[in-house]
Amino acid sequence: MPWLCGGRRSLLGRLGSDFNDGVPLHSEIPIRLMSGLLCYNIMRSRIVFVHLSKFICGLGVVLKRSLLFASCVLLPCWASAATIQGVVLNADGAPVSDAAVEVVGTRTSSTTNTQGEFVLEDLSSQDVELHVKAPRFMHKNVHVHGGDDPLQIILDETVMEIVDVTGMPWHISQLESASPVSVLSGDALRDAQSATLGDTLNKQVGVHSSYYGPVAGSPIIRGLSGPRVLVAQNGLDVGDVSRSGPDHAVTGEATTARQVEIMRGPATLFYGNGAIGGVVNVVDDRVPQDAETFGQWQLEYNGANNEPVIEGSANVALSDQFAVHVDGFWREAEDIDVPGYAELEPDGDAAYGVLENSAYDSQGATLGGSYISDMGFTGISVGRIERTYGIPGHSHDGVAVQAELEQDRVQLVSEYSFDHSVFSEARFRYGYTDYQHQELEGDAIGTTFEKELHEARLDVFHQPFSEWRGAVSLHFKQEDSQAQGEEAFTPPSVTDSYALAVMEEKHFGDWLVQLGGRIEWIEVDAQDVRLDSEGERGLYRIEQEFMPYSVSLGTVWDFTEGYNLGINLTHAQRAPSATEAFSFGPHIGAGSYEVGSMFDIVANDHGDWVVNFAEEPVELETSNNIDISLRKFIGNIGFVVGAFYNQVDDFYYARATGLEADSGHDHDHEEEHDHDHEEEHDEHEDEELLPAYQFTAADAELYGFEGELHWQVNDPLLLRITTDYTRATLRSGGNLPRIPPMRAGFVAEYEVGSWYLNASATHYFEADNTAELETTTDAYTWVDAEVRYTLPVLGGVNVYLRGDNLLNETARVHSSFIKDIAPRAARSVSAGIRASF
Amino acid sequence: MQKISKFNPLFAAFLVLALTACGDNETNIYAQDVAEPGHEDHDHEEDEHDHDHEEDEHDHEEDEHDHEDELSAARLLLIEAGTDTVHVFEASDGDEVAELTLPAAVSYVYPMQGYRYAAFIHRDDNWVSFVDGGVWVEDHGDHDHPYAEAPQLMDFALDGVKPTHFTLGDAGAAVFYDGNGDTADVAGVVTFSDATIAENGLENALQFTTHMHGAAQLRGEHVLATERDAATSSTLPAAVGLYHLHGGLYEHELTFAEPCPGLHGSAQSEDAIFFGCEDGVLLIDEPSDFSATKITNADDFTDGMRVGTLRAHHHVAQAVAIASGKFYLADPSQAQLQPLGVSMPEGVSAVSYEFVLGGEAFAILQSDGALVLLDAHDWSEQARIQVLTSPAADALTLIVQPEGHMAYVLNSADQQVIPVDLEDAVSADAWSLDFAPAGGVWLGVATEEHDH
Repeated sequence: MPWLCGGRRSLLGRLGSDFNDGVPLHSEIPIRLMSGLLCYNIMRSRIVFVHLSKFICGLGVVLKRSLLFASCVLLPCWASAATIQGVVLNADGAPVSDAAVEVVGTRTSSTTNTQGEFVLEDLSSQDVELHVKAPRFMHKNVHVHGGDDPLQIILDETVMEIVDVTGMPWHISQLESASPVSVLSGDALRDAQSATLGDTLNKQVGVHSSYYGPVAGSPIIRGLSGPRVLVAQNGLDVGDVSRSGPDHAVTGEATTARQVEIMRGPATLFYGNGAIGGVVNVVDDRVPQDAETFGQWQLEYNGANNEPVIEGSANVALSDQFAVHVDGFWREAEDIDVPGYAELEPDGDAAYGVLENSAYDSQGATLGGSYISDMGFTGISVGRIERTYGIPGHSHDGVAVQAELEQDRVQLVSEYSFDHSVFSEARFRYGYTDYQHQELEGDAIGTTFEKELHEARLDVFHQPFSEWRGAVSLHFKQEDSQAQGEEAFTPPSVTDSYALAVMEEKHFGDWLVQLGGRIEWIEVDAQDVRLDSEGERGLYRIEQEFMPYSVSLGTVWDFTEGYNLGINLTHAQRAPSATEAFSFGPHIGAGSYEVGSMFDIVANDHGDWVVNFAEEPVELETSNNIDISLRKFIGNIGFVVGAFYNQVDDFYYARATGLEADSGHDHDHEEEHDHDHEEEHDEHEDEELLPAYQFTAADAELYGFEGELHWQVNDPLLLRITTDYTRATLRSGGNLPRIPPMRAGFVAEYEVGSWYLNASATHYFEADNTAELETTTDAYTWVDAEVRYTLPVLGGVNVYLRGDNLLNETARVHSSFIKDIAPRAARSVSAGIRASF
Repeated sequence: MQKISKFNPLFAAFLVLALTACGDNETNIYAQDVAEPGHEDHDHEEDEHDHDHEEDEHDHEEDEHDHEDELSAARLLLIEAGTDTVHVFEASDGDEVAELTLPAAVSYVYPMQGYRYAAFIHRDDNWVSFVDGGVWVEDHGDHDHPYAEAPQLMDFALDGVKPTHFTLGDAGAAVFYDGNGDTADVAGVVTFSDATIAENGLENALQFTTHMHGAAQLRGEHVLATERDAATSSTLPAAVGLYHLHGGLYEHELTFAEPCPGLHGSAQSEDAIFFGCEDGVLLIDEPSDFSATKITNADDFTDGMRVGTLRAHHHVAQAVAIASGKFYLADPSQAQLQPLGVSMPEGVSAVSYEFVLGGEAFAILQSDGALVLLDAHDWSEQARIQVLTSPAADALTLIVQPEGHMAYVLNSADQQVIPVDLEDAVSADAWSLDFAPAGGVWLGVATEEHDH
């Protein structure tokens, strides 16, 4: 009888003498009664309290036998457990040590010894699927159907680095899933990390940065960003306002992260409405998941902006049941050096060689702790991030504008597996973020953005049914955002969303099929929507309800040894964001005056215009996307090449209207405006005028390719070639703005003994597929090099020296809103020291 | 099999949901011009623009409807007796649109000349506050642009000792501070316009050397203000002076030779300014260089009887003078006050009186609930509307729409407002209030729609 209180290997290890071939002594039963974890046996419609921890197990032996016996009769919750053992070998028959062998859908796993052997004991079933992974080997899934024979699992060596995406109902990695993903982790992550998430990821295939100078940069995935790319921290929305403005920094901090996962293409299935273009998930260990002790630290100095960086993180097991996490980082940078003038067309008082007002400082710390049992863990973390940064090119009457943001974040994570007949595991995540961001002009607060976010997500994994594995996901999110001040271009709004999703996968011989669907209910309640037009002038409250859905069908076909082909079809919908729907006002960061899709602009020949409520209904943006990926992973050459085609109906974009509007900057007497409009206009004729953009839904097509090839030339030398390209057009003609140009990169890595050398060159082609009123951006080549030496102390401390932009190219980022005034950094040198334990 | 049977319904249900209910979206837009109503019984349905996009419909009729509402928008601001609370109602239907809390209890309330702002005089608290009624039009050249927004207390306020008389001129308003002899606070006058209130600007000021219960009338760059000899014992002034504005301060130009003993009450018409005196009405004619003459008391004035209150209108040459509850006509072409022949039953008095219908008529609300309209051309009785029967004593107040055809009788005893259509001479059903209205003012768009 598979009850919810099966033993686990570590339990066996601890109480080994109490067990007899996996059948517990009676003392086991009441321990479970005491423990307090509630679980529900649907088949018997009975509720029992089951064992939560090994710790409580130990107490059980003192209880009276009679009580124990009676309890056991009432709760016949032990079953004969299965054991699986085997060996993991490479293609030459040599043992693979330190390979992780995981029972899919459970928390049970084992690590191979030096002989490549592993034992998985106390399994609830002999009918399981194993996932076997080891560094530099291709991951492998193995189905086990009973039998006592030891398994022999052969892993193929690969030059591709494979890191699984965390927390997904499916196996998702660069080589193993139907949809394209990549994961940045380890040294590669530490090398890439910079002050903004966009810049950290900007060398990843298919990802560019929105580069608002070095101070704010969002990842752009296949040309999409903002409300289409979700930035998550441990699977939960980061809860900042970076989706609504390019000058708003992302609060997902990669500095102390374990890995950063990038899902390219629609990922609404997993993450919901804001992920139609992709997801960047920053994963760290703020909520410890096991009782392990590990950590890392790093000191770095970046020459381009005299930036010292200190960061470190550590997870410490206090006991077998408790682990805590602490991390912190601090960085402080001056204005960044740039080659020549920052401005494309410098004026008389332009500064040479420096990007003014690009200094920043940021710091953050997180504390977390978990209670860990064999069945799972429950933990909570509290973190805070503070950041102050200049906004380049953004000055009011000569006063530089600075942004100051603070965010507090609480995350609660609980994951438990159980031997239930239907359900195998439940994962619960809850996040709360309290965000505030102020734009300061000197000491005066210009605009304040505030956002409060509650998010909860429950994934319930079921036992394999006919080898279908998967989960049902319930997702709730509440966003309360408001902006006050002269740049409050969106009204305060509360958005509630509820979602139900199902994700399933199954192997059919050489075919892995992954399919899923999600439906979401979204309610938006916007207050104080201000309209200034004939007849409709006034304040309005707008309620919107949307019911977008997504379905996804994908397959991975192992069509021949060492290769596979991934194909993924997604139909996804997205409700327009509050910014896209309700904007009405100057958005200085974007250098535009924005009008949401709720409104219609009515203009006369003189350029005077007013805004009314639109007669057209607000539509859901609908994406039909196909991804094809061909992968080769065995041997000295491995590659992943892919192409995508994404047809988006009702794609919301900011259309240039050719009209202009007051920036509002010189309006010191907002409340006086009602009367003397004529006079005010005369007074402020020299006032800054902004081009007016309207969010408009139009059908668009995005397509392109991504490629990555790794060639292990010989033992020390690895060459990598990467490329990506996105083309984005409106079906009615014309291009979408700020789409990154084609890019091709070459990397050579040389590793011998304690030395590691890396040189890379990336060519960004000229961006000439420009949108209306957009200018082209010149090509450039970005060259980096790094040398790293591992000191034989403390188990290996790395010291490194890195040179960036060695050609000292003036690199303007086409996807940046401020490309004409903020190039990337000049040639610079960075040095650092780091270690992990 | 059991396992599968448990799973399938969920999955099937999900698929059904996903395939049938998906892709819907709906948008509703609600006018938020006005604050949420204070009580349940106010139906704001018609303020909604229901842009129900589910069926691709966009109901523009409602937009137009709203537009019309705004064109005729007007509001009543009613003071809750004994409190610092002002309730704002739509003048058209009595829907309460907002409730404002003023800095102190209100002594009097007056409209500003644009009828967008109201002045609330907190006499005992030495303060005047201003409220934007939220309804106004802006001249956009080829058309008037109507606005309707939430009422709000303005930043602009006046502080001075015992602000008492508030008078309107063409260019703005004048507030007379009585000052206080006991505390040696002197009297003063400030003048200001709608623009001053909107911009929280600076008022123009005149300061006296002594206290007095006086009055001032604003005439362009001039102010006519009362003057009191500090040596006298009465707080009432006995003369009128002419002052001219220089750099925000009024400078004395002259004191009219014609005295005005025991001065109380003032008013102005297009050309003339009237002050009530013990011996008649002081008439100052601006077109003839502010020449001052006296219209003497009528023959039927009994001993101690004097004009204490005056009403005048821009469109009417004569002023109405009230002496001991009796109505007289102060006609600049006549040397003596003329009785108006208004007769009231025994025990009935006039409680409120104003020019109405754009100066076409003069309304007198009697304590017995009758509203009498006098034709302002020949001063005959034009209509008599019995708005209430047997109202409680001292319960009634009259609010008039300055240029339109509506008046509102406040009945504080029964907590009600009775709208009266002066043109049709009928009263409408009373609106019930949940407070006793002590007074109020009409604000809104002063459309001159009335046919003269």
